[in-house]
Amino acid sequence: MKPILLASRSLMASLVATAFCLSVSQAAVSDIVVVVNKDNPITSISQKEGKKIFLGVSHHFQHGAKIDLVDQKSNGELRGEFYSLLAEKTVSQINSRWAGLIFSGEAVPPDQVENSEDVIDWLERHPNGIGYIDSSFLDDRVKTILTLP
Amino acid sequence: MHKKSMVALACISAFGLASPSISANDSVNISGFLTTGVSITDNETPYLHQRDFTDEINFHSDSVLGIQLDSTVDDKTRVSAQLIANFTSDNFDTNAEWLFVERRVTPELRLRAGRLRLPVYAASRYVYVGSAYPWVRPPEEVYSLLAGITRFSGLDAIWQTQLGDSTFSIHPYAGSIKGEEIVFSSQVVELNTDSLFGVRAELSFENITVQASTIRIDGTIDNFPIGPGLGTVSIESNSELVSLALQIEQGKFDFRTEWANRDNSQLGESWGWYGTLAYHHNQFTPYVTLGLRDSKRNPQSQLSAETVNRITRDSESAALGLRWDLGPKIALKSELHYGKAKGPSQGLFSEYIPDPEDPNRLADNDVLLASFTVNVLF
Repeated sequence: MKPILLASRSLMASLVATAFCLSVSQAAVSDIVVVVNKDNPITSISQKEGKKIFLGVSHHFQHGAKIDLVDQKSNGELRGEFYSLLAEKTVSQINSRWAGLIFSGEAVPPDQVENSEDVIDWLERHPNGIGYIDSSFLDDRVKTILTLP
Repeated sequence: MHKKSMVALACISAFGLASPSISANDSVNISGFLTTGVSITDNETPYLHQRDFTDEINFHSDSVLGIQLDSTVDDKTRVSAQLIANFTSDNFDTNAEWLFVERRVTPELRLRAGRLRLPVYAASRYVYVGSAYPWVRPPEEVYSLLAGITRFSGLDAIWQTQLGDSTFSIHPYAGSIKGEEIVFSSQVVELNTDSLFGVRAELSFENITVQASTIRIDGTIDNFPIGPGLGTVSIESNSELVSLALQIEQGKFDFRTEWANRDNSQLGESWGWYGTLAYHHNQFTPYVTLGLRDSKRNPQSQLSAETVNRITRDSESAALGLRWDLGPKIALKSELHYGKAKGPSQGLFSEYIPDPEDPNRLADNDVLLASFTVNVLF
């Protein structure tokens, strides 16, 4: 029973949803997922790796390609929830960190787009891109490499 | 935060960085930051290096504008320029704080050449960027140990690797400083180095970051004041600085501390320390900072005791502040700072106004400083 107790909210929700109606399992609960272009060879990353990428510490995928980061604009709620779940950081901590990285010449600012749909459009044009979206927007142009608990 | 812009392209060209491969469609980022503020103290003696806060309201000393241009030349090469305009002493000084070409040799190794930032302290790399740290300004006890020198011309290499779950980087650099004007006790002196080299190492593990750094600067200081009314000389100046910094981010708490020791052939040995505890609550970050500065005099120094009093910064301070992130690109900060000079030293005051009864003591050796700043990114 232990593994089931430890299963993520998303997994349990999906199981319940699947049991009742397969077609609504995606829409019933939305998670925040980290996604890449569907042609990216990467299949999954750990939360620690995700944290390093989105905090500007790691600049390359495991297979060596340079990472292109896309962030969502700060006025949406998803951004705050994403950084809180991924790294236990507030939006001001994230803003402060990126101000330090960009204005120390250490990093180029990530592109910022309006919402999850725009992240998918952006990833379609950037084969080495990585972003995060609300899972209810998932489509076949991107693949999930990390689901946040 | 950034715009593709023909203006950026024009500016890059103006700096001689234009490459035939740059076109309006290539990625040229222009971004910037601005801090402006107001401060007042309860003491008529000017306080803090190159800021000179007094009991008259001061609108200019915390003002700084930075414009940064970043351009990717190819997959592995980029150029970056940062222009800084600060308004200290009512003058509007603009300088290229850095201007470098960077080549990524391997995913882990980057080489840079040009004018570079001196990476001495934990916040050196973004020392002018108010949005990047909690304080109104980085604690003076540590950040004034090299008289406000922040840049050099030369080369550096940054090697960063993953060691299990931790990230390690090492950053050696070498170069020179020529004709840089710095301020010693309200007197402008000129620094020319014969040699300058250093190395910085950083280890990050989970929520802990440790930095160790050392730098050696050998050179001469011209127009150095030997004592009140005694004129100026050129003196040899050899400095060695060692610094250690620790930052722990645990949940909503952010603790950072830094210690640095500078040994100078003329000024003797000085060390500074601060500790800051900040708490992140939504868009509010209250913080408290304690600071210390002490020194050991060099008996072989060519300088008079009066001069040494005027350039030693022995002091203690405490500050209480609040950062308020109004939005992703704008933060307000307010801080109440108490500082006290120790013994005959000038402390963190920027001028020595002696007690009429005892010339080896400041007339008024403690100060309360209230500051408010607006920090914007664009």
